[in-house]
Amino acid sequence: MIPLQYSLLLGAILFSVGLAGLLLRRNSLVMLMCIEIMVNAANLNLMAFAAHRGLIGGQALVLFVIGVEAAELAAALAVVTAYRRLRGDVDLGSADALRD
Amino acid sequence: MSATVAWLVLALVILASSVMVVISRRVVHSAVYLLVSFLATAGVFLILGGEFVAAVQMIVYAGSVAVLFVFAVMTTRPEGSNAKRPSAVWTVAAVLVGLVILAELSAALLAWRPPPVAPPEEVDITAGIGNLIFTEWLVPLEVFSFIILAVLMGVAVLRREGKVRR
Repeated sequence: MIPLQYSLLLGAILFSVGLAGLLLRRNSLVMLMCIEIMVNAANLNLMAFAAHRGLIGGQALVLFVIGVEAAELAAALAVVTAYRRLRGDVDLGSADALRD
Repeated sequence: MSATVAWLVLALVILASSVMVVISRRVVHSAVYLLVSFLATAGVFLILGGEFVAAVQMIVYAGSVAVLFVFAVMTTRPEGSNAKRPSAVWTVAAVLVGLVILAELSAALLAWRPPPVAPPEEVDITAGIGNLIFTEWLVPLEVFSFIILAVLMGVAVLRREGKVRR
């Protein structure tokens, strides 16, 4: 049995890595991957609590999170490819089309 | 004991590959490191006692999400973009934000003691999940399927040919 704190610490480190990466990179694909890392950290926490409390609901919640996350990613990647057609790159550092 | 060792190895793999997602220069490499991270996470789920969730993680994340990412990389060719590197100040600030969040979460974690719970009784997890989401959580399940439908239609609209004006 893994101690609950170990899993929560792993989730915290993963979330921080994802957040720092989201701020560090300007490539929209890598930014989406960083969001995936953060969601993965949340899933780890949910699974750790579910295993600790012995509850099924936590695991079912992880299933919903996985599904919604995959749907969000499909929509986001469609937006990225549309943006690529519009601007010629996937770099969000120069995304100022709405400012003018 | 052996479960703890396996957990530690998997945790190290997850952390290393997640860091590599952030710092590797080529986007394809990031996608492959993300795939490694998801697979190791499925292993951790298995150790935590969620066989069904581990299987879904492998099918949905390691299967379709990784393929989606690779296809997106292939169709957008992000390597050729003339992306400016973020400035040094920005880099330091981003790492600092990550470290501050990590410190806060760790402090909260150290101050907190999990309440003792009765050891969970042995149940059939996959059957339990099925019973739960098809009876008690039926409405969330239907809402979720509407989300999937909305995403399907939204992506079809977004990808219509010739509708993006320059």
